[in-house]
Amino acid sequence: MVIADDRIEMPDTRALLARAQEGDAASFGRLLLPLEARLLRQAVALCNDPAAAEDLVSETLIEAWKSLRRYDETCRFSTWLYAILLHRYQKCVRRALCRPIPLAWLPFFDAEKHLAAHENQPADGPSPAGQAEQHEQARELRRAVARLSRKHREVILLRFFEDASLPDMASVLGCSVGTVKSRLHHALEKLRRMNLNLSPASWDTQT
Amino acid sequence: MKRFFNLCRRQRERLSLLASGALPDAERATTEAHLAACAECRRYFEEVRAVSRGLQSWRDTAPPVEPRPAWHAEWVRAIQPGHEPMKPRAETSLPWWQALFAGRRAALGGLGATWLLILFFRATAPEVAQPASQALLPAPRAVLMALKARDPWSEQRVPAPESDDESAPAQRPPKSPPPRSERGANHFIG
Ligand SMILES: [Zn+2]
Repeated sequence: MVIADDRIEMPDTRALLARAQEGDAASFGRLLLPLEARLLRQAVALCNDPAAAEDLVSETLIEAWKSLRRYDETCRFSTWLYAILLHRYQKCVRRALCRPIPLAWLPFFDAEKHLAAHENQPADGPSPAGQAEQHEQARELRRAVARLSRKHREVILLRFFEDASLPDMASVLGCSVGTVKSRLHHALEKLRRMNLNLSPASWDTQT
Repeated sequence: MKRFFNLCRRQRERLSLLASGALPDAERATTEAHLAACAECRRYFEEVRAVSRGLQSWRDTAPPVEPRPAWHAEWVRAIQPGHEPMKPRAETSLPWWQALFAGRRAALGGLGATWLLILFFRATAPEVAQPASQALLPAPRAVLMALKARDPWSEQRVPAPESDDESAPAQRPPKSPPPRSERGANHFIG
């Protein structure tokens, strides 16, 4: 996922934000145009399903619109949005948690098919075999992250899927930078102790 | 010997941050120096870095999504005053047999809820283990939407937050619009 700095550079961004905060929905729409693709991709990483991801982002944006006045620029706008997205997502998951039958057993969610559909895309990265391996690894990590507590999960997702800085995470989670550091450390430590089968091959394609 | 281990322990948090690319530059030098001198910490660092890279790899396997112009128009319309809410796309694209299944799921959920409520009132130990491993699994909206209406107690059963890592006093869980603390530097553009 492209997590390059997405801070909006259009000169009229500030004006759009100001107008949106005054209640102009069209300005909010234009403000979000350059951020939609990224949000959708972040949502797909969570839901693993394009339609569900679209719904999640819609919910997120409607929620963001309702509380836009409270965005005071103490963190990156995209991080603020992602925090709302996470919150909406966890609300969905929480609802699902109450059912006696695990969500994973639901037969109509075909993550494999969805992943396979994207395996044929022009690869600018690893070979198809490497990609399959990456997807297997992604699945394993998804399960592992699911086993973390909510607080641990949040910092992992904010750090790796939003590329959020420590102060931005602190701002968005309403805690101190020290707490964020400690949570991130413990979350990674828990994942490390799970002894996941992480292939060294897929490391080398990264940074 | 003891002092040695304490030194390592103090470095571990920084090593995790370094592996995830979040270590402030000011702390880099001492951490890297320790890393160069300590084989034990190097092994630890490599393991955490493997996790970090795995997470990056997961992020990268998420396919790019091109926003549909119709979807953009739709949500912008939905936030206009007096406009009716959006219809979930995942729900409407559900085949009838699956919709039926989702309904049955909801019914089972309701039944389970009733049972648990009965247990709750009869026994004094209402502790019901949360299937924590289910968090973050794909959440098909259709099912969730179907459940929303029928499951009034769902919001009450939030897994208890772990507090093993909290050095700071307990924090309130974030509200949906994240709490704004103080006005700070402008991160929006620059
Ligand atoms: Zn050491």
